[in-house]
Amino acid sequence: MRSLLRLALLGVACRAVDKSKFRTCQDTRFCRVHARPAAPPPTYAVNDASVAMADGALRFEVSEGTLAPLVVTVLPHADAGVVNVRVTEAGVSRWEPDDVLLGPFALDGDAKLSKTPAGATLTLGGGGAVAVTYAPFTLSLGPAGGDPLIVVNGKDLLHYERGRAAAAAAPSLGDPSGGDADSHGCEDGFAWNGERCLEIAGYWEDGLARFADGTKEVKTYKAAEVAKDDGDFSETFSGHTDDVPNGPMSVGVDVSFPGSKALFGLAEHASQFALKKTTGGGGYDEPFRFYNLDVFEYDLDVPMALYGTIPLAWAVAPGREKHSTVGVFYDNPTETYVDVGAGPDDTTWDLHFVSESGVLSLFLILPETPLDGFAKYAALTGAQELPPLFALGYHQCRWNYKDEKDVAAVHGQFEALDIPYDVLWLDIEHTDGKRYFTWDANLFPDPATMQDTLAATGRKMVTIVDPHIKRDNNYDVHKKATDAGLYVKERKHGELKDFEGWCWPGSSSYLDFTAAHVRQWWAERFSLANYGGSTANLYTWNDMNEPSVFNGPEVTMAKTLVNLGGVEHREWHNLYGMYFHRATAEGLMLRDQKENKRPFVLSRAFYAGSQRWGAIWTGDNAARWDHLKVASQMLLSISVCGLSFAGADAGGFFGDPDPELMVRWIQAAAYTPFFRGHAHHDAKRREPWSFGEPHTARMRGAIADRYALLPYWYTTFAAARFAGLPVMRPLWAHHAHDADALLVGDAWLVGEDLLVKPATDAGVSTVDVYLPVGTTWFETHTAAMTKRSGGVLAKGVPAPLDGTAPALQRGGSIIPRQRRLRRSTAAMRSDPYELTVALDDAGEASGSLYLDDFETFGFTGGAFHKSVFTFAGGKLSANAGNDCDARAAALGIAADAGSFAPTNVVERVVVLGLAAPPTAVSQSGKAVEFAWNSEASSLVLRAPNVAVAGAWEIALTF
Amino acid sequence: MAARRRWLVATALVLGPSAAFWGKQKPPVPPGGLACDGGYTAVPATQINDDYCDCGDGADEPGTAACSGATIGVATFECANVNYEAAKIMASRVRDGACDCCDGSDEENGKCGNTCEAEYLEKHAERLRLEAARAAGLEKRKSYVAQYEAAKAEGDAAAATAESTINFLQKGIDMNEKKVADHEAEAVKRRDAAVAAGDAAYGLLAPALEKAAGDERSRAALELAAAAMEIEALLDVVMNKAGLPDELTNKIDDVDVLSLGVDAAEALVNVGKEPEAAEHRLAAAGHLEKLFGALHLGGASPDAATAVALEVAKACGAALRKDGEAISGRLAALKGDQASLAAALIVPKVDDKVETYALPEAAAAKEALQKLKEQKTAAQKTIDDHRVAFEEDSGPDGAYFPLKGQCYSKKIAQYTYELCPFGKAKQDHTNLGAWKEWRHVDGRADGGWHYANGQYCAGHGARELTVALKCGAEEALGHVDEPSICKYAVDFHTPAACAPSDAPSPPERPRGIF
Repeated sequence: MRSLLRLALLGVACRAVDKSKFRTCQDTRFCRVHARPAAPPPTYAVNDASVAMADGALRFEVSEGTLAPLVVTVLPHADAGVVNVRVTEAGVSRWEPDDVLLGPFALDGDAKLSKTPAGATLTLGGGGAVAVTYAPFTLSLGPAGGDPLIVVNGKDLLHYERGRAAAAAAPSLGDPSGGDADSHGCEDGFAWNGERCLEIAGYWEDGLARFADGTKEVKTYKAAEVAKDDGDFSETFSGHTDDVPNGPMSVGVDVSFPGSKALFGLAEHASQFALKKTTGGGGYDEPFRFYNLDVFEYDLDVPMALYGTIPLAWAVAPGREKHSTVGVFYDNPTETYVDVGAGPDDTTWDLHFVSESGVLSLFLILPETPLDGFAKYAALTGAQELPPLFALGYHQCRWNYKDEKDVAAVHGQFEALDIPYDVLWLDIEHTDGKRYFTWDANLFPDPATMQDTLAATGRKMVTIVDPHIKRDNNYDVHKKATDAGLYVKERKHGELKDFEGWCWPGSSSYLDFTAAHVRQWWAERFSLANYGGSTANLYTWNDMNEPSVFNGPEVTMAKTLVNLGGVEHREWHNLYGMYFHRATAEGLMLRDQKENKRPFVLSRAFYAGSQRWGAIWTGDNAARWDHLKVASQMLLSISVCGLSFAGADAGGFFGDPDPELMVRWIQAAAYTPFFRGHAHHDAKRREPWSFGEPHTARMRGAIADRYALLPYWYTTFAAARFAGLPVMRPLWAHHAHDADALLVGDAWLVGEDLLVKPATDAGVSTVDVYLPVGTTWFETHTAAMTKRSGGVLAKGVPAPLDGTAPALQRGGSIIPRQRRLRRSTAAMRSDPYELTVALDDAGEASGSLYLDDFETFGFTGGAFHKSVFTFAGGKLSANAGNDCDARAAALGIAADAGSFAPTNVVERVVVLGLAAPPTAVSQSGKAVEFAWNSEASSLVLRAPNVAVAGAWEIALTF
Repeated sequence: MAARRRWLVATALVLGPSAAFWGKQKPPVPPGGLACDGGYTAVPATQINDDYCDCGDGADEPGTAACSGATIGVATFECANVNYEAAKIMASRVRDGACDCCDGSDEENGKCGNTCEAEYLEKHAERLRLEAARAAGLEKRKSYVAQYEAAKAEGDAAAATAESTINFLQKGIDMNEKKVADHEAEAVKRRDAAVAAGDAAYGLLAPALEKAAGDERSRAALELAAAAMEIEALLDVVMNKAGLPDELTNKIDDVDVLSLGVDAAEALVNVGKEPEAAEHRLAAAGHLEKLFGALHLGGASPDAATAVALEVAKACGAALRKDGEAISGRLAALKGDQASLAAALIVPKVDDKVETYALPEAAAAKEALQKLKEQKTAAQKTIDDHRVAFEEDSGPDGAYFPLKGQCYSKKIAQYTYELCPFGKAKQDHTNLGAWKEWRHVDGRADGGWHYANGQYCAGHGARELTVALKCGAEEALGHVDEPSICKYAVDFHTPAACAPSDAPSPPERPRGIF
């Protein structure tokens, strides 16, 4: 009979649409109810009798009339213009991390409270004022006596769910995490292949089961099972049930920015730099989502969640003389949706934050200028740590360089073709069965010698170390972690057990990196003794740390898992990646404690503050022109969110780029902070020589150009570390009053003085670049070095394939370079420098060069040197600068101790923008040879050979 | 007086000098100086190797790194290598902190040790090793060619013999073919007469027999079908267990048997439900009738048909253990009826096969013809084999001949690779392809082999292998690589690949070092 039944089944069509495995607002109870409410939420009013100052903070109660009042605490920071607003439930404390923010922060001792019957005003010492209206409750920040520029709850959307005790109301819980109901009724360990239930052999990154024959699961759900709401204590999505024993605890509030013309930030989304609206039409229908996820083959131009979360936004009003840019940092690591809206004429933009749980805490930032805003945000979550110089070189990666011979061959080609690179990367296949900290003994029998060989030419190696630990009792890391009880737990049959999920190694467990003692234990894994086959030249790549769990809901952990402190995963989800990144960085610091060396760790997942631990990249992009285009938009967004050391995989991870796309991508990526070529294992080889000439020479040229500019890059990174400034900056960072510069997301500034606009279309040979009002620029990427004036869209700027991305130097700036082609950054150490002096219309220019040992933390103790170059009145002079203002001191930098004195010289000075050549050039009475190129109007000073870190003056006589 | 000279600076790494940039006139070259950039730049002696790049083409700084951006990929710096062979390195290597010249002359004094002697010794040892292997290989290669020539001579002789044998055999074949044709014509004549007589008899008997047997056959069919609930068992028996000849089972349509089973099952389900039951019984009867008809027309004897029924009963009994006995009983009771029914169905049938009417002497003639043809085929194969063996595979002088039929394997990392020259190649059990053709490798037309059509590799087509043939003292697999997914490359060392011409020239021995 069975055979007959099978015949009958074949006749029934069973192909339903495979709905997206990622939730939308409508699929999510707290978002559906609060971001898309059926009726307006209740209005809150201030209990005026409760308004009072205590310990430098303003406190008062707000209530919507039925439940016990909430407490609002307003903390004005001593850092002028920064105000923390917290809304809490009296007598109830919710979990929050105590190590994401740099704090404790000194409060404004001069804040003064004044009250009227309708509201209260807190006048801040630094010139701002916080105004509170009582009914309805709103809170705003603006200049004292001026219009409010940031308004909290102006749209009356504040909500705060109190949760409920589980015992009485909640249904009894069976297996909270085990609710993976399969709509085809396959038994445990089986899944549907489109025809029948087959035994599961494993899972893959797309979140689907794999069978022994290599085919994959077919997921089909009846509509009702995609998203099912079982009241306040349970909801189901795509077959995964999330039980919520504590009941609903979501929080949310709106923030608006009167007069603003655009919003930026809210990284990470595969979307344009200037945020699109999510309400009111003209943009997305869905709010931006924050829930760090491993999104396999992610879509572009969507507000879907991606690998990282930084809930920081900047509102810019170009017309406003002062405070053109204001910001809000909404510090909540639980799942969050953010609606973006705007008033009539797209003026007065607003945000509506809705989070599943956690604390409602806002940092309102009212800076004088955009740069001041970035600095203030860095004071909250930390500055970008200064990378060792090698990390700013070119990184060559592939999934996977197969074995030691392959590594030697790739390294050998770079050597033979005179292409600089600094780091060669090994992906997951280098391990013994995805057991991190091990090597495949067949493929990598002698890893230490391999690293030594690379190190002989100044190169480093990076190996991947992911957070999932293979469950194998013969695997030392797993055994020790199990014995010491370091894993995240799941509740099974009423008991807490080590959570088992599926990732690259198969069945895996996940260390609880939210616990300090687990991070310490993890850090110790990186010692040369514990990590066999590692050397001091080995650094680390952290992937899959959202965390990625192939068989979990939305390819991550179930929210009901708990950390070692008993706190549910839903509370700390968006922090997990950062804690892992941090533990790894601390591991490398521990390993190199004696040498005091800086770590280098690349992470995919991130949260606000990840900049303190290293670099991130935009994950698994694709070899397509639209992915190249979106890279700058995403990187600008990440950069203004305080995370400077970011990049997109050059070439695009999935698929095969044609030679033109590859060349254009290398050209563009050479002008982004983190510069790595990478490829999927099914993609063809794409190392710079893989396409043959002329493409090899083109890519070498673009890479060599990156290396030549490293002194400028490093100086810009020092500005990020010392002053909290982004490395890659939008035009509005320096030209916030230029309305036409506001929305530019396909061009950017490296530091202040280099404007980059790569070619990102097939077949083009020029680009159009918008040049801000009141500026001049020199096309330093071409021999002609054409001068252009700002306030226009400059058409037809040359973008040759045989060259670099269009990069224009600002008139009035001096940019340092090391022009000699070398194999690696280490090989450039004693090379001389070249200064390009681009004069402004007043015939003046200035710039700087930051120098230190390029690899240790010695700079924090003052072991660095900053040369400041100035050109004025026909004289170029160099003097020691010192950046150690209060801001740098707060970020942990001691004053320049004068203990660092490099002996490199300046071998060449190029001066652009002179009307006529000088008649003589001298330095300390000694003639300096020079040449004048009348076509480019450039003057070249030959071998002045003055100390780059010295004090000197070169005089031009006309 | 300020020196105002026209010298060039590499303002952008990727840009070469432009004549227009510097004006069209070529400046005079000072004594001891040099001209570069096609003569448009002149560099005085004091500015050659002064660690400043004056020439756009980098020609003025072969001794420093100053022009490394202009002389990309070209080795311009001469390692001093006193008393040792000359070597050049790229300018980017000069004073870069890494030791590149074996005498360390690219770095500051004292930074690097002198490794020229060690390099010489290493090169020397490697050269000796290669030379020894080559000498042994060349010696062995001679014997390979000799083997080929001996085998070829033997093969040539055998082929010549076979050629004359074929000529002789063809005469016998022609003669016997005529005989057989004559016999055939006679047999056909006899068969036609017998069939005509038989047809007349059938015309009289058949209609009556078929009418009488109809109802009983349907009933028997339903019983049989009911027993055959496990339709796979029925199929199995009919196709394999009843010992029926292939010609017969091929005529039985699987679909009929399957349909029979479906209908039988439905009938059982519908027991007591008229008219459904009757309808399905009728349908089942129809299918089984077809089945029996096929059995009969295919030439099954009554005994064979009965045997089928019994086998089915047994098989089904086993399949449906709990009902087995009862069903066997019913089938046993049916046996008598079935036997008589089958008997009644046997129409006195005239054998219409021509062979039956053949003359006694025809068989002998046919046999003789067959034998002659086989002998001819064998002789032809000798000739063909010879051609394949000696004309296609063995290389220009036949040195690869002894490798035919041999296989060589080596364990590399976790895999065992096996290469059979002119045969197949494998990685463990994965087929990497079969020998297809000679390939141009390392500049030699006979430098390699191409193996194609290996196991299919998802997304990358069939696996392929390129074999680079290297001189060796004996056969051995060397480096294995997978340059792109599922495209493999292997080095195969063999004396057959040794040639006297390409011995490496020995490095110059460092003088005064020893």
